[in-house]
Amino acid sequence: MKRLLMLLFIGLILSSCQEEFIPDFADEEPTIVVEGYIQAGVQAAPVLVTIGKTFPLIQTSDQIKGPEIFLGGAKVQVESNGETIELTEVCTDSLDPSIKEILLSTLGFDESFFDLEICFYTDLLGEIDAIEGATYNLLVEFEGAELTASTTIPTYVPIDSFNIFNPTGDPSKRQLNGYLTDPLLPNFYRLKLSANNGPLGNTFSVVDDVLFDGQSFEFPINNQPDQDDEDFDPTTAGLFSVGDSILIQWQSIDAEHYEFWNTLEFARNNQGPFASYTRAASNINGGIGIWGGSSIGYYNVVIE
Amino acid sequence: MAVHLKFYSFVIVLFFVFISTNVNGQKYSLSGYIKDASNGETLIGASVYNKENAQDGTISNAYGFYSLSLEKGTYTIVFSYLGFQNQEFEIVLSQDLELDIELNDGVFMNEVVVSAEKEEAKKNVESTAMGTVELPVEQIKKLPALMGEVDILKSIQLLPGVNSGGEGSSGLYVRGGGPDQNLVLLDEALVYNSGHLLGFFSVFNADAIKNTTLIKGGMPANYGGRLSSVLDVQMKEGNNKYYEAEGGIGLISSRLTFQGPIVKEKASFIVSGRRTYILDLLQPFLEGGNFEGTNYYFYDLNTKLNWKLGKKDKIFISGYFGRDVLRLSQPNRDFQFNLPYGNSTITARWNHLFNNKLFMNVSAIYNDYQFEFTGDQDEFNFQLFSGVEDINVKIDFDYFVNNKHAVKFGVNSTYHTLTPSTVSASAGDVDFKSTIEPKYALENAIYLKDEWKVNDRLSVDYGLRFSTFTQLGPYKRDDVTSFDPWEPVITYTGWEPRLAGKYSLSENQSIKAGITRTNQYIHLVSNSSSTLPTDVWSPSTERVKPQIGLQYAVGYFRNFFDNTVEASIEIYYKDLQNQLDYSETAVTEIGVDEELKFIAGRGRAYGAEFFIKKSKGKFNGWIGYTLSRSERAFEEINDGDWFPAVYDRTHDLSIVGNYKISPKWDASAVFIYGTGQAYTPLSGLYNIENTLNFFYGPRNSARLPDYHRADLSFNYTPNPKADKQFSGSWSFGIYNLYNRKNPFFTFFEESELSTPTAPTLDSFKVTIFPLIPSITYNYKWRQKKT
Repeated sequence: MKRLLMLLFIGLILSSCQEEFIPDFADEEPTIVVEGYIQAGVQAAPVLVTIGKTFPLIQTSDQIKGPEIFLGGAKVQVESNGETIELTEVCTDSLDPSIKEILLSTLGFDESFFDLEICFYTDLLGEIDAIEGATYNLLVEFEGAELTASTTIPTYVPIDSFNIFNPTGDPSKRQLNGYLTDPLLPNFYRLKLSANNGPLGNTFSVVDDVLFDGQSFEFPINNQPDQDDEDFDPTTAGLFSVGDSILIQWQSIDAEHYEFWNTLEFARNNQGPFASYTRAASNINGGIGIWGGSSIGYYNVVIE
Repeated sequence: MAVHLKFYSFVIVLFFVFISTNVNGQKYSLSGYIKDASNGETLIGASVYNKENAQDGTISNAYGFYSLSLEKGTYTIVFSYLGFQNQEFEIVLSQDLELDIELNDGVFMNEVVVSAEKEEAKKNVESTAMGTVELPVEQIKKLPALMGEVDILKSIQLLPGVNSGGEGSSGLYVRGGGPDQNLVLLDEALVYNSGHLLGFFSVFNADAIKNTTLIKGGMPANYGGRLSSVLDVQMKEGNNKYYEAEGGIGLISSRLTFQGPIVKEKASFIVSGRRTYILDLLQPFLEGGNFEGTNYYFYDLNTKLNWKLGKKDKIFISGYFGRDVLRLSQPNRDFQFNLPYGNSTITARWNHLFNNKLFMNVSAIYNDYQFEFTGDQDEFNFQLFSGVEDINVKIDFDYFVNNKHAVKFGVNSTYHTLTPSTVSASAGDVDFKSTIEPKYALENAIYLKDEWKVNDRLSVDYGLRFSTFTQLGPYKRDDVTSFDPWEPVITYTGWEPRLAGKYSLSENQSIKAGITRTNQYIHLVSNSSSTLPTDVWSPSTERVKPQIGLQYAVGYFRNFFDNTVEASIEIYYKDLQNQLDYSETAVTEIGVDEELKFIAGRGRAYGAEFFIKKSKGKFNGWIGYTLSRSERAFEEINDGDWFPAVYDRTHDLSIVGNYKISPKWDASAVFIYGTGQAYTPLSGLYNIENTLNFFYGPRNSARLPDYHRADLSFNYTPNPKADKQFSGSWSFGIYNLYNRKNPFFTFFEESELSTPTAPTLDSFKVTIFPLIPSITYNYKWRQKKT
């Protein structure tokens, strides 16, 4: 709401002036960042954990080594129901370049990451059985630090059906709606989508059911704005084009996993005159980031 | 209840003991009302004193009533008020005497006005009041204003100890206190959101305002409910002699005020309106386009009636209604939203004079602040509502015991209804509704204060206020416990002693000191640097404790050059308990009770204020400088260490100058300098889902560049002396004279050169108010005198 007010206000009333400005930065020691997911479902990906550090904002020429992300050298374990399994470290530099590219593409990295040395930790042998209702504890040992986190995989709540219609006079544009039956009790959802084999994304990807607990209803699924599109047209924003092939990733997540995305995505988009900073609500003890469990499903929709 | 009864008994006993000690010698009273001769408006704070011994003096109260007690004899009594000619009367006092006085304004009699101004200037040294400033509306109207919009709150910001939230903001931050810690009163009605257009303009239309008083320290016991300051704004009553219309045509708004007698010298009215129109003018260009029907405007309507029912009774009814309306419409997509918000207040008052020493005012006040958002797109619609509604009844007494004691006492009871952001929505046949319900509370207070002139040198203003606050049902604590309507949920009580003293070192210098304890039960927590219409007021509840403030202040006051220059140095220290802020992981979201996002901590603020003012002469103005610190500490932030509040300003300087070039032309200039605003800097970035994210350093540990700006205005009155029925004047202004690019906000963007191996950001600052010229035409029509 504040952003909306700000945009309208700035746009309608005033001619503002924008210029480059170098603000002060806080000089602090790097913090360890953990990003890990565990998924249940037919199309679930294997457990994947990456380790990184926070890095300076502005890279200067003497910082030749680049940001410390996707680091190797950690011991990563997942514990559930008394059973502990250590994840296998995989570093792309040890792989054949063609395999590396296929692997990174499969994991969702775009071409700009292909030159980077990437290490991650995964359940290579398929030892972890990710199931709905179970709790999974993560233990990371890295550079003398111990980091822990815990997540629970909730029961999957599917999207029942989709509805495509033309909300404007433009014959080429369509609105996509989903139909959901939300069970009683708190539920949290995450939706990401890709159009025509583009990357999966969503600016505000999570929602809780505070407003619709226990209800069956239709909800809009909006097309993501193209970051590079300078000809933004508010009259068709969020609409799809006839012929678009849409992939929807739909997850049921637990409260802490929801809080992380809710705060992180708010923080990413919360800049402006009326904004203050927001820290992402991390569930990683001893660092920042997320250890997120989900039950996951995918839907393919062709816009007609 | 037992606590209350005990307290009432205590107050009554104290009061009678007090009164009985002061009945000595046969004295007679001289009492009445002091008014402006030109329009019959009562004058607030006018001085009345015995010329031979100025210690035998008093000032008129908020309704222009005065009462002076003297022994039998013959006296020369002086009546004086800033900007008016003094009046002197030879009075033989052998019985109680009633004398209503009308003072003439002294526009054309400079030498007389000078002497009145000197008398007024003595108050700087002689009164017990500290940190109290009255700004005459006429002075405010001469100052340069953003886009020519005369703004009372922005003029108040030019005083030491007061700063604005940020560029262009009409928010008030007084002595390191938060934006919610100011008691902003319009004819006694609380104004919960005093800003239009996201706070760039204030809701007070200067044409309808008679008097503005800011109390930033030493809050007397008759005020309460806020920690930092009182801004007491009183509306004009309406000319009770002649019909009068005045107005102005400016760049973004126009104003019109009409006032006059209903029954001459007995009843009068005033109606005053203001509306912006800049986007109305664009409407024809939007027709048929994608944004047809899109508009923004704000308006204010002030009105007041007063009726004299006899010698002893007078009633007033005043009201304010203001709205900002933002409408976005996209007809070709069946999309629109409306966003109206604003305040409404109604005040009904009855003045009754029991005798020539005891004055009573009974007020019934209703005030309401509403914020609403409704949006429709196809089958979806969405409504958001938040607001505050108060019903307030208060009874206040002024008891002019004798010339040594001026007593005030009273009671006050307010029923609050606070609606946080309640949301309802529908999609086709399905309705959604948030479970958040309004909260209800009853706030009571009783107070007694006495201004005691101990001797020629020493005066003490002491008082005690006792306040209670009860959250009432209906309220659902959890799934098990719920409360019925009017059933108490939790009660807080607070003793609020107030003490201020003045000791005169000589005729032109004094020292003053004060201790003030205040409780605040209603809170507005804002995590941004300006007050916004979306900000939600929250009551004290089981989870949210009342804010408590303790302020210590000492000051040295001195007048120079035969009272033509007033100067003061004040030092203060404030200890603030139960200060609220949002947790660092709070997000703006609907459907969640706002108080669950709050964290509570401590605050402290301290500083020194330097003020020098020249009120008279062709060249007048003031310089105010404040050196201060305002800090907060929360267990959940920065490991509990103290950090500067977002409105902390180390240095704050205002220079205001007016110069009367000729009878037709006058000029005003303002210069402002302030230490840059504190903000929380980034310390680094981190990668999540292959996207860059901000990692922040310690709270408010960096500063934006220093703020400074100069404004200039010229006022041209073609016929200053003409006693015509119609007169006009022009105001020409330049805001930000040297086009200083003060940052309004800063933001970051991922650089186009950024890669995963070398992620980089670009950072920008946005300036919204460059050099802005303005022009306003003001006019006045007056009924021919008969």
